[in-house]
Amino acid sequence: MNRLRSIPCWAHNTKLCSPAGFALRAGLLCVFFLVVHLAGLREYASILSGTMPQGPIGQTASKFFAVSYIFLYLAAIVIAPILGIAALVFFLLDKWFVRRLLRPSR
Amino acid sequence: MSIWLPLMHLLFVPAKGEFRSTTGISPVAQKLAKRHLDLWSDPELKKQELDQMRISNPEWDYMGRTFLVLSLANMCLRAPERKQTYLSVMDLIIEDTQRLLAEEGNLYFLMDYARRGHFIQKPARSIFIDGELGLMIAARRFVEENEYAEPLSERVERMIRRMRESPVMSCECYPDECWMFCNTVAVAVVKMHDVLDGADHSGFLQEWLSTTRERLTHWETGLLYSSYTYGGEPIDGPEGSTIWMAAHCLQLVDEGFATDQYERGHKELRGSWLGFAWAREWPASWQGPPDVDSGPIIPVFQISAGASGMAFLGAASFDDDEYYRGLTTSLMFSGLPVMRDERLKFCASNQVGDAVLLYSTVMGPLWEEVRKRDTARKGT
Repeated sequence: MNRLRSIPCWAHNTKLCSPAGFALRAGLLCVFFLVVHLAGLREYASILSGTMPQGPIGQTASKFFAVSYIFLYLAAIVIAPILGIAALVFFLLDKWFVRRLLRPSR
Repeated sequence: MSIWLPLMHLLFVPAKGEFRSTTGISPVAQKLAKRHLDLWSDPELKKQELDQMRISNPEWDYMGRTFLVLSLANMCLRAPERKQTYLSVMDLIIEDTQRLLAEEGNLYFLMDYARRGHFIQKPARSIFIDGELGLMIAARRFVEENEYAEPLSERVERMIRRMRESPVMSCECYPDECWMFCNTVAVAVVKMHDVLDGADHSGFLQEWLSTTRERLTHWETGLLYSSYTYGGEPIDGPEGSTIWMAAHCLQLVDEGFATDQYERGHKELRGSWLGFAWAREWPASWQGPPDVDSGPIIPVFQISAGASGMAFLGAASFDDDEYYRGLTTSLMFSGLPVMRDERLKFCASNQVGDAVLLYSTVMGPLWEEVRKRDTARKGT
């Protein structure tokens, strides 16, 4: 129970729920996608149309590559920009509004 | 999320004229065509690509040929300076298809279950095979006449005779299974043959239209059934993977009926959200199981890969630019395009999918030519 309670705290302490944390996650998703893209896994997406890709790799491996590619593609196209925008908004809020609100009035 | 999602389509929306152009051949069409022309100039590449598709569905091999021949016919009419290049590939495809049918039989391009049943109409034939080969030959002859006149006449007369014998004027594609897709292809071929050879089957076509309207229409949507028994009992209701092509073929036979079917299909099957568009396989009033025609179905939105692919034909046929633009935006997002050496392919698709897309980018001139010659013929 204590461990569960400590998760948000841990996330906060390691600054994952921060502008830098969001930006880092967005960057990581993009890097992972770039790796599978450069490895040529896009070709395996033909499985989506019910067509087995060319090459000596078996069906199971082909499906795994296709699913991995599609998952990371969607992550890079849909989720990473959302995290990037969230990081920017979070940063601006943190930088301007919160500090302005907390500034002691004269 | 509320900032990014409404903007996301801007990454994928194609420029005006990138996919379809009113004159000439659009950049996307040229790049797609190059890849298909490569396939037919390299036997090893062709075998590799077609064999891959045949594992899942031998029909796709056949339909890929049909849509490529139709595309090339339109490209000949759009770019007459390249006519001989395109014609030679059209002839190669038609000859290769005829050779395979002669050597292997009609079942070569049909799915396995065609071997497990018995065709009701004798002798057994598939209108899928007869209609699409007729369409390839007729398209070739509209570009330039050759020795195919007699084989086309024989094929058309046989199709008409067999369709007349049927209780609902439709022939089987598979044992006791008639498909609207294939039967509308057949009537389009009859019309093209009339125009090419000065025949007159207008009575047959009118009879076919009235029987189809009366017996093969789903009353809740007004859309044509996709498949039915030889006796006319519905098997599959209206389907996106059928209706767009059916409406396209009906344009040659009855423009008003074709437009009505397109508009009903548009109302019942079109989906769109945040700049992306797609097609559903079934209307709300008819649900069926996903199959090889519908392709994978994405839940919630009910996006069907097969129906969305064929929707390109519908939108292009009826100059529905807004829908076509939404579909191309979805395609650029989910089709995973790859460009290599000025050759374009969509990794999430296959040869038949890309051939359908190519046809949607160049279609128009062939149907226009049929109408023009038909009007001139009636005038004289």
